[in-house]
Amino acid sequence: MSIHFRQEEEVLLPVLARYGGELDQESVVLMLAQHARIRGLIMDLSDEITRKGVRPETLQSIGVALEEHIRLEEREVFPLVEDVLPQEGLKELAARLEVKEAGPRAEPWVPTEGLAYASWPGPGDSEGGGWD
Amino acid sequence: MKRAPELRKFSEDHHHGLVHARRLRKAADGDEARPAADIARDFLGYWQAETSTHFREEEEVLLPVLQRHGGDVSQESVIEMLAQHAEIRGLIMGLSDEVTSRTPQPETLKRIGEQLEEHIRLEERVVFPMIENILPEEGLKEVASRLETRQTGLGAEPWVPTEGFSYDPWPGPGDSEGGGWD
Repeated sequence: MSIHFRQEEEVLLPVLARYGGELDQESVVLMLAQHARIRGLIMDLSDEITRKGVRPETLQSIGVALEEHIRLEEREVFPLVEDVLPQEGLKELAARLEVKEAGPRAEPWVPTEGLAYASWPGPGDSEGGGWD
Repeated sequence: MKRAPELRKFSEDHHHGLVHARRLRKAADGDEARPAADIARDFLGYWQAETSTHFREEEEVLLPVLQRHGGDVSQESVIEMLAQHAEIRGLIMGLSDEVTSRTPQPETLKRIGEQLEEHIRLEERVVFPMIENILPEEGLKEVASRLETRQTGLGAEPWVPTEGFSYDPWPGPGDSEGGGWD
């Protein structure tokens, strides 16, 4: 499930964006907000399992939230994605999902050869200076 | 602006992000001494090592904790932030393809630089001040502690305990027609 959420955030929506899909429409917004809510509930459940005190209300909340979430995606988000993405976009989506499953890296389509990265030498400007 | 100590890690990342964003814009304008192709590769290295994780930390730690403490994750600034994550990830797909085919486009560098800068400003000016406002001390501590767990843990969401779990993957394909939803 954790991987499924990431696939939506790191593959599905970015590909949708590449083909001009609007990401601030209601169903997408709701879907992302629900991801945060469900992840928060998983934190609750995890803490409860660790302390050996699982509350039935937590199970109930997760069940309800998950069901609502899946219905939203199946009834609204995916039909929208199918509507917006041309054949080529759907193929790209499938190809990137396949690459993602095969690769251990965060975003496996990023090439590996010749990338140089030295981690930052010291802490950044922790005061957030320069933003305003 | 002074950031809550528990959130400083994010702001440090933002600071580095701005430096990279400026470099991308300069490279696109031909104002960098090094070739744009090199700048593009360096940026992808930075992306894989830092930014990709940073986005996940926001999506998998910061926002869920905000939600747990009563924050509204469907408010405009948060939605804008998440939509920008998807936009930027889409641009990274484009740049990755271009680097692989050895044809990085200045236009792509420029767009990533601009979007990243806009994104960081949104978070620093709007989202993080809102979060500091809403999260009580306990919530800020929870963010810091889960970030730390996340860095050391192996699982996607490492606070999920590991002992005594059993999971058998689904025996066959699901109902791909979406039957039963309506």
